[in-house]
Amino acid sequence: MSTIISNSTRLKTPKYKWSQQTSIVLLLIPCAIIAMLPFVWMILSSLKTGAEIRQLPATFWPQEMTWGNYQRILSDPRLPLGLYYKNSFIVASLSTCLTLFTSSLFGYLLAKHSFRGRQVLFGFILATMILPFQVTMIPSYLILLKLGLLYKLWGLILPAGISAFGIFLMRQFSLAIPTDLLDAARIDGAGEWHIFGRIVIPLLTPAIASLGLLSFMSHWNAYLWPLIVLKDETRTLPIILTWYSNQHGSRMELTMAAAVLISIPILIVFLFCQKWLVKGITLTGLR
Amino acid sequence: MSLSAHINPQDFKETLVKRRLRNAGQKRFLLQALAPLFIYFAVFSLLPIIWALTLMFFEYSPRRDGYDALLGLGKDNPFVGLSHFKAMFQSSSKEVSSFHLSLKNSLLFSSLVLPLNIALSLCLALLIESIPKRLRVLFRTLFFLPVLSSSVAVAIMWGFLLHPQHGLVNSLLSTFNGELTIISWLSDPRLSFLGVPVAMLTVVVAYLWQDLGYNLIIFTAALQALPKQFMEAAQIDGATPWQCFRFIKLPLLYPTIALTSIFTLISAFQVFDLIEVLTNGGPFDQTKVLVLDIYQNAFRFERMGFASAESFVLFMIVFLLSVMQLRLLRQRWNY
Amino acid sequence: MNFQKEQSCGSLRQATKLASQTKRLTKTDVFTSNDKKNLPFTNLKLSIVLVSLLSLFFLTTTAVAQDLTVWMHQNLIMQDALDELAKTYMEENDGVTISFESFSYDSYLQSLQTALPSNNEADIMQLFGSWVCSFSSHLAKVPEDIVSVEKAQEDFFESSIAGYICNDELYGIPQESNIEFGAVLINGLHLNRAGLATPNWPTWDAVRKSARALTQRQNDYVLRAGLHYTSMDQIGFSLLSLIKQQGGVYQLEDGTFTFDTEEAAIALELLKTFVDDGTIDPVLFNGNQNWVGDCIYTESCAMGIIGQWVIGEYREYYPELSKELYYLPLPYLGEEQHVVTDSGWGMTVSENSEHQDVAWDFIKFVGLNLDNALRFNIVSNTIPALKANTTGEAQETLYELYPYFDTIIELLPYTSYIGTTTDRDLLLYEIIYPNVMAVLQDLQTIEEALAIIETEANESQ
Repeated sequence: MSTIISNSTRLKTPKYKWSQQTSIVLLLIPCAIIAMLPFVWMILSSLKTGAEIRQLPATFWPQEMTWGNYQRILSDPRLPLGLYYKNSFIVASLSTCLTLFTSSLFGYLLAKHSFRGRQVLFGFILATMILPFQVTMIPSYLILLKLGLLYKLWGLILPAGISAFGIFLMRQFSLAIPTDLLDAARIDGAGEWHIFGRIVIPLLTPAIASLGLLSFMSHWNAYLWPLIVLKDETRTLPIILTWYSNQHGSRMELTMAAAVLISIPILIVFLFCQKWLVKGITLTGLR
Repeated sequence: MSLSAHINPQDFKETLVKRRLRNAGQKRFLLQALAPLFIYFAVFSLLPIIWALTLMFFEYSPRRDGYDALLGLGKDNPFVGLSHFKAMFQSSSKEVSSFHLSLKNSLLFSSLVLPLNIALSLCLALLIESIPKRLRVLFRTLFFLPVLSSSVAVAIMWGFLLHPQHGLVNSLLSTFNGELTIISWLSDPRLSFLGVPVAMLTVVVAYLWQDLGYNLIIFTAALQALPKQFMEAAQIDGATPWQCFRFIKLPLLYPTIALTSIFTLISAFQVFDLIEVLTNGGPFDQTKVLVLDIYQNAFRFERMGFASAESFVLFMIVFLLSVMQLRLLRQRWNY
Repeated sequence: MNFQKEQSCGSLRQATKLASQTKRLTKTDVFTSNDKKNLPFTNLKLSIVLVSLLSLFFLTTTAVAQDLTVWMHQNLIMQDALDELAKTYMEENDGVTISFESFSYDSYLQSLQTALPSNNEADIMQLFGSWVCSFSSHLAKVPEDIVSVEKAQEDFFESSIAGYICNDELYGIPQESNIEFGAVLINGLHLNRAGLATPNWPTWDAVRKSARALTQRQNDYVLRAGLHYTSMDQIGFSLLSLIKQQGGVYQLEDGTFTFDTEEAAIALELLKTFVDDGTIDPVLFNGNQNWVGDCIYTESCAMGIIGQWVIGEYREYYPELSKELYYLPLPYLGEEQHVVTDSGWGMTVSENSEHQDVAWDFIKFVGLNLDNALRFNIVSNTIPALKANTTGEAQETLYELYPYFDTIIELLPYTSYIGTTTDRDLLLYEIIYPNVMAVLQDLQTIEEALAIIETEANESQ
């Protein structure tokens, strides 16, 4: 490892001394340990027995490792985790697909087509972008109620399928598409939908990938809105996790195991997409 | 598009026809694409806004009947004009004092989160940026993990970490102290540090832990994008790393820092999940933030009108912050 | 448990089906019996009309599927109990399907508040008795032929039925009695370890003495609380009950709240002595942290004030510990025991339901049939709301299964309903709880707290 460090140091950043780098790494390691500690504690706790959890003061390493908590959760007929995974997946993926489609189409129209009221519409979209969700939460709830979509997964997906931020982002990226390219295609006789699908979308792909990941992540982790508009079999994972934790307030080892089961898989998936996520965040600053 | 200058009349006529056809095609496309999109946008984005703005002038609860079937306004949900806003300044009722308190808490929360977040993430970014690439990616990933996890899971995790009897934090403290130490990090209203309730600080720490990764990524990217020649020139002139940071990197980073600050502030103002699960506003409303109050008023106590008015205050705060942000954005583009 | 098969007469369709069995002469009965006889030729015309009417009747009734939806709060054992009863009911009544949808406690109230006015609710809603009157404008009245108000008041405990009666009209049938105060849940293991016999508490001093003996402390920290009484419901019902025990009131005839009273001050002083004695630290043990149920089961509390329902909910996870738990009656201030309670969970029907007749028939099956009502209580570990189910054979069955029920059932004659307040959760959780907690944590004097409670309670109306 040290040779790699020294090599690359010499090659790329000659300004830093080897010892300086080591000390920085030594400084970063405790920081990283602190950052990881809650996760580690969660996993370790999920492997403890109930009796050990209730010990005082708390232990760090499990005295007696057990998978029983996981077995218990996975075999709990009252906690069909598969169903909630499916719900979360359906909601997050459909909302994301819808968002991507509406955002790229709307953004492209706003950027590359002229129509009456375009500026006003764009202004509206900007205004909704800065509007906190909590402001429109109440009316959105009432709208779902009137549309009969309350408690249904579609009730979660449809309002999430259009995002002012996404539209704004796609408009900015569409602006960068050369109009000449579009006109050339038109002269070649390409239809407008064809142009959108074959020219605009490919050009927007990097932005779409980033927006898609960010939006999937935020829908997957969403809590407040699903809490309000779902019940029973349509609940998503974060809602189930709080329910389970309330239900088993005294059994922290079970709650921690549930938290591991619910959050770890998606963390792993996201880790693989990290590159695009990072790109998306640096590109947009979006939270 | 510059078409060839020498075109014969026949061709010219053809292009005209084509162009007209094209325009017709574009119009149809606009109609096909824009109309449904606009309706969609109107129903799920515009309508809620207009509705929200309307509700704040009413004393509204969905349980009561109104004149019209759609909005349910009027009759038992009477129009009250600006009285919600007047009450915010004059009344001393429970809901108003709760609003004042939660607004104060939100300001406190954001003003704690902002400097700590920027300072910590910038420091970490500087450290991470100066180590070799492979390690850099590793560390960045570790610090980024909390960002990816759901705030509910984070809250549950931290709740247990901070459990007075069975949590790790008190257990570690006991080990260091050599005697049993039990601190109620989240439920002791009497504890405070520098005038800030400990429960609030604890929530801030948990929030920072989850939120740091965002800014860290933005700052690392910004640092990497800095023009290298300045630093090299400074190094040749014998500048120390601190001087290098203070006089070259920091000024170059100002626009990024300013922008990131506002994003951080906006999201801090909208914090809900973490606090709802971790403390639900307690102890004695010491961690009750604005969104929590709005949520409780709207969905728990059926004061949707007042909740709407509160949301409007939140909107104004975020709006002002966003205007500042757009200003800064423009500056950065110029720069 | 065997079910007494009750023949329903709620729905016309079932009446037709069971016409030959039932002795009751309904309209359909007449038609069916006519149909079976040799039809006189002179009445051919009439009979054709009758037959066609009858077939039309059958056609239309079979066309309308009788699908009932029941909303309930998320409570696993209550769900089990209702599921079981619904299954039996569906077996007995062809064509009726009953499905359950459950909400977490917090979102349930909010869903009801929005769903009811927009006619978006289920046919049957399991409501907490104390909520019923705030929804009564959207609920159907209990039909006279199911049970009359007078009969219901006679059959059910006053504290259980009172929440379901709004302006002298009955809006639902309670399934359980909900008692949170008046008895203490105790972990016998701690008692044994401390070498103590099962105490008998003639006075509150005796309770304090036991609590002190069971408290475990180290370095000024309460490791195990002697008596946990500082959860949200418990604080509220302790205060209200202790006021009533002294002959005081907390709500005047006209509905105004009065808390700034001598009785209330005495009640709070009594509650505070447990903190002053060091038997509990309200910062560590309260409604949010170390909640009384969790506390008892994690053995961080020796005793706790909480209803017996908690044993039902935790039994599955702590089968061994549950056997060691039982109840001890608390002494009272003043002349006679008095416990203020909520009206517990029960069934109501939506005014908009298309199948109100079937809905009431099902509720009658579940809540008025003695055996079924008892079965519900047994599966869900709840105290009966029907007086008849707390005596005789039913009582024996209950005590055999749950010996600790006796202490609580003996309290039932001394209970009274909390009263129709606009928002009971607001009063208990947002007004009484935080202010009393502030007293217990020395952040507020008793006088200050009571004055604030009184003002806020009256403001909230």
